[in-house]
Amino acid sequence: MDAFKTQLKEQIIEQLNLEDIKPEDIDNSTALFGDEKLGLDSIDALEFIVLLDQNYGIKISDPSHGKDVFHSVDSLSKYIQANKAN
Amino acid sequence: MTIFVTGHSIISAIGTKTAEVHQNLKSEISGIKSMTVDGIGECNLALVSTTNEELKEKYTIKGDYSRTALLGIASLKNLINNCSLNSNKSLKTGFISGTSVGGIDATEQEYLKHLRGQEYNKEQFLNHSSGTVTDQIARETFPFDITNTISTACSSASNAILLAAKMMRMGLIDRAVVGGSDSLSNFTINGFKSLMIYDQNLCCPFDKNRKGLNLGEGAGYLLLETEKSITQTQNQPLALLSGWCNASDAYHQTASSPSGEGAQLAMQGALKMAQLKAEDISYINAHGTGTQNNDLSESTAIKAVFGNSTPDFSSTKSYTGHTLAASGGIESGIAIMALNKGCLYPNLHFKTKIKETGLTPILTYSEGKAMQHILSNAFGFGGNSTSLIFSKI
Amino acid sequence: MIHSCKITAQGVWINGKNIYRISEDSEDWKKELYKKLQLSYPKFFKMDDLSKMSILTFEFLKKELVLDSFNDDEIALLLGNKNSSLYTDNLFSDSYLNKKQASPSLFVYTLPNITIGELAIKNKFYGENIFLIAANFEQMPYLELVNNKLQNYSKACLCGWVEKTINKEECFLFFTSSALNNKDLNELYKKYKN
Repeated sequence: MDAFKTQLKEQIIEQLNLEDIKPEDIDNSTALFGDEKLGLDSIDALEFIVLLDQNYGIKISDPSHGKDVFHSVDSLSKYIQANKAN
Repeated sequence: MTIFVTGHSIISAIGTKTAEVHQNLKSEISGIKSMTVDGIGECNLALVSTTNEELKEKYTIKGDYSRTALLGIASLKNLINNCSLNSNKSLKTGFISGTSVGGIDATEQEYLKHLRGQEYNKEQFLNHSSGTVTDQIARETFPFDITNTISTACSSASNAILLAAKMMRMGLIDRAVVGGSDSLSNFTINGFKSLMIYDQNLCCPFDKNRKGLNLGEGAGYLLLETEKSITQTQNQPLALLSGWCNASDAYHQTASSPSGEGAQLAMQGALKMAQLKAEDISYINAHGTGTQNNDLSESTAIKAVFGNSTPDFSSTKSYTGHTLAASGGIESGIAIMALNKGCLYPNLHFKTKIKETGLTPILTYSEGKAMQHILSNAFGFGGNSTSLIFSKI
Repeated sequence: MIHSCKITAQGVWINGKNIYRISEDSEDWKKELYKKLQLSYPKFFKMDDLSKMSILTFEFLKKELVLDSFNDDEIALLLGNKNSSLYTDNLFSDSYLNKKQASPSLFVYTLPNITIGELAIKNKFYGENIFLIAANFEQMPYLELVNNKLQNYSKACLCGWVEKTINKEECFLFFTSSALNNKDLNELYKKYKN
């Protein structure tokens, strides 16, 4: 699970163009959208949706549904495990 | 200095002649239809129902231009047919045109062929640039003295109108054709879908359950003249351009601020310039794209500026779709029609008020309203906010 | 007084004078300037190159200016270029044509005036703003528009030219709170071309 979350964080960093951020800088349980050093906004929320589709085949059609899913690395990881296309 | 509007021309999904546009608005016939787009699937679009070949034939256009240019040329040729715009050495004539798509409709098709290993037409890439579109429209229609191209997203045409008015006040030009043109493209459809602000169904501006916009295409241009010009051309004025203001929302690249700061500044600035009070405005042709963000932001701004004097308002994008850079030109034309006919064009597909602002747009067509001043809003990505006021002669 | 700043992959010029040279082995010259300015603005790294260049150029230019005397809607913005947002347009179309996934963060920058939006967001500019497409710097109507804006509501103008193509990256901004004449424009043009 740790390895998966690290990989997920690497994907997030790349997808969202987070400069000078390493996986160890992102805490698994902290709210991603509140974290000032990440500076995420509504466009990043959309990029999360792209990431889910591109990397895991999971489609989210309602952006407001994304709020809970992308809350933290933990919630995102849980969601992917439960929903990824095989 | 008085700025007269002496002509307007609309090419849109609800018509290419003023009478046709008015009839469809009156009869509540939207130009938005469900279509299948190659590579995208089902999509609601407001297409101008004339193919490129038909446009070239009907308007005697020799160049192999992009659709954006063809729509612009069609609009200008209609404008020139309907009012006097003749070469006149003593009048300096400007052409200011807005576009966001430029010639992408043409180049993306050729690029796709290239990607698929098919033969493609390299010459089409010369049609790509926004500036080239302006030059092509000018070349096919009139020997303008000055041309400018504006690229401020959805407020481009309105900014073209504003810029020309300033240039007329500066004495740089005596008259100008102003507005914008944009055609549908896979580029923009893909883009708005990626932002998840594209409604799968027909858009419903200002409705609580609105899900986004529907894209449209078209071209809308006005002819503006100074007193000096109108004395010579003897054109009948349709309206006065009595106020304008452009401001910045300074909030987000594509979303509007919750308070609609830019929109408030633009509307207030236009009122101040026209020396009018809020209650003097009889009708607002709203930007009203149908997105969650714009419609809440714009209604918040309308309430802040107009308070208890909030006038009748509607978004005609429920008919024409969101025509992007052309919207300010097309919708100014519609607003002027409303002003002169004393009619109120409804806002289609509205059912429930937005909870936070509680505003209800015009629901049914009516005539006989005495109108003196109307406001037209256009808010572009990048927080570019423009409001124009047109007044009765 | 008119102040100007130019940045390219070679360095930074304030009022025509070179104040910084980008290191020879620089892999990302814009990041180098970001660090030189000691900026703390994570959004910078999500921007397109037009916006990055405008933000950086104005950060350098700001040091020469006293902006306190202006209200937040009294500085007008007027920028232009020839190629619009072509570079990012290509990246965006690549995202849905080749990668099969349209990128919202790229689409957001497929308009050149977003550059102005980013300047406005960072510096809290609420005044009038416009982006024009012109064949070159000399064709931009800076003189007419600056003078008109200053005669009306705006008290100052931030103007410039910002271009990004495969072969060229440059940003030249100038700031004035007084009317321009042809001599000023010629001087500015020399500083832009230098």
